[in-house]
Amino acid sequence: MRRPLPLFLLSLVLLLPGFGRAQAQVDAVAVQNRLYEAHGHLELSATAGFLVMPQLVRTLNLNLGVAYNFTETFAVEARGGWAASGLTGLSRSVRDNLMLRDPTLSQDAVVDDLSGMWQLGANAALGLRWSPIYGKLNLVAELPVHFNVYLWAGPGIAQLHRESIVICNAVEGSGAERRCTAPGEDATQRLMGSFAVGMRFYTHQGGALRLELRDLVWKDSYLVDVDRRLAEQGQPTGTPAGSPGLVHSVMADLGYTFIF
Amino acid sequence: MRALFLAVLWVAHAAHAQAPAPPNEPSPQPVEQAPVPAPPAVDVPPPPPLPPPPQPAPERAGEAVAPGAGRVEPPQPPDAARATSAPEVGVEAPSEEEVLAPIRVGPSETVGEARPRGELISGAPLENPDVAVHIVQQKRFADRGRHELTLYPVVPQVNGKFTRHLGTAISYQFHLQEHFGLQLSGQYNWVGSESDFNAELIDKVKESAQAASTLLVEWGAYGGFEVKPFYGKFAFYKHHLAQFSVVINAGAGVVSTRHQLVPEGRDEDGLRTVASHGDTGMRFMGQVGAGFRVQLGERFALRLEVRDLVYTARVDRVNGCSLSDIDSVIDGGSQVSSGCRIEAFEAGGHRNANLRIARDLIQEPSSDAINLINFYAGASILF
Repeated sequence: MRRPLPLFLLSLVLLLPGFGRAQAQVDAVAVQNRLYEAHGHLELSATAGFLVMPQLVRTLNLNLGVAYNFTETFAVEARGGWAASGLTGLSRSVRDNLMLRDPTLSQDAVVDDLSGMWQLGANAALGLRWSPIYGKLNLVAELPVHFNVYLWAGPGIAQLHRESIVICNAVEGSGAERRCTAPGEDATQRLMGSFAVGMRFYTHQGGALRLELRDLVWKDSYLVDVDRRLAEQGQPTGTPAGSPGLVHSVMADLGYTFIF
Repeated sequence: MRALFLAVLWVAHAAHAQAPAPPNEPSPQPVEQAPVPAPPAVDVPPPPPLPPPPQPAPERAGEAVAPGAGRVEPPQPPDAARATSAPEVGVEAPSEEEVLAPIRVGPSETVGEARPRGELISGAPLENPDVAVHIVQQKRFADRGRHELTLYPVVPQVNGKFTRHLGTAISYQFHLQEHFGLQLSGQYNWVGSESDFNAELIDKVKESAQAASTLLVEWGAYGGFEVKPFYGKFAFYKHHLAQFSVVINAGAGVVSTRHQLVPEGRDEDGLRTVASHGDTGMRFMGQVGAGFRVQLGERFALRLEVRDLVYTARVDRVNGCSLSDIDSVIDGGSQVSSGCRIEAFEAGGHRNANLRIARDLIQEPSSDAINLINFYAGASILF
């Protein structure tokens, strides 16, 4: 005890392995402890989603969902709801400009309709959710936030409505005053695929904030070789496009999940 | 001085005594406990009072820790309990298997006497996983003073309404502090064209976005800073641990822009023709971005980011030529202003088409604030 400094250093050296062991154990705790476990829990969710990049159609999709976690990482979820959809300003602008070109004067008399014009209505999907990642984040110094990351996939069905900006069944006015008063419309139900990647941030044992990117995919259809002169007389015209492709409605979903 | 040393040694020993035994440690063997010196009575302030023992954790399934960790073992004889925390000389750091093995928590790890469940590890109760210290203090790899070089091999545009970009980017960071660094980035877009949607509008209804809205970025270079305000960990299932940071960056720089004139297509013989572009000049740009940085060991990291390159676009010249220059050339003249590179309109072999389209683009000068939002997925090396 006459030479405290070397002894103190020696003591530290002897104690360091113990400190390291404690740190490593805490590390394992941080990984293995799941404050919020999912297995066996039932969930109810409410989400609102909007199109990330609306082009000709805008959509606000409101959904309710119920899920059951049959393992810690897998859950089955059914979700359904209704979407408020409509044409974007760009669509209306395109339609107005096209109407100024009178087909009876051979201005763009035969045209193809545009793709991706189906508007989402009621929709439902059943899917599998895989949540392999669980983590913690220190949002501020003393507020750890627990989250998990998931992938979601499943089939569904969608009620679709179509309002063409090319086909017009009734026109009023002439010249610069030409306006479409009865756009060509159609409605159908179609199978869709629903795919998502998302994160859930737990607020407490009974709930989590939900953020996800969801792609609703369905088969497109539209008419080509549409004779606008016939259409404006209310007569059927046009033929279905040969390979219309798929419509991808990529939505940003924000919601809350109640966990029971 | 001696009293001070004794106090420090006592505190260090007490801290060590709280370190639990490694998970796979064999059954405790009785050892003799080292005598603990009494705290000094004078010269040294008394040690801080121990925090009150936490309330017993609620018996929730969600509170369960590692397999077996939530199980509170029955109290053991004092000798056996004492052994688990006795100082060990030359003990190596636990292996990964040991770290991930079930953890014992409870009175069996106490020194001499049973302690409540709220045992403290680094100042935080072990059985409560919702403790900041478990997250904040366990940063394995320090960034301060390190350099980071990141390659983003494929950088796609994610807001391609009227345009489509695909490129490669590289970025260099110097981490001035643990949570703050400087950043230099460069990007070259090897695909830059009008989007399929814009082409469909042109093809079917003869409508197109304004020239300023369809500017293409050929390359960009910018510098700025990056902050990492949030830090966390995640586990893939239960056995793969990764640390991550949320990164937020911002900067400024320049981009080189151009505009598509004639799209690619096919000629009368069915052969593919390349698109032609007109140079619309350099623009100042701002950049903001955010993402995740996942550290893989000490030297590697993965980055997933979204960055928005913002620049103002006003198209009133193409290839340095004004409207009067182009009109003059179309009418057969040869007098153009300085800076007008009329030979650039030969691109793709569509001289006349290029000139006509360029004239249409700048006949009604347009301006817009362009947001080019890209997704960056890259790998970093730290040194």
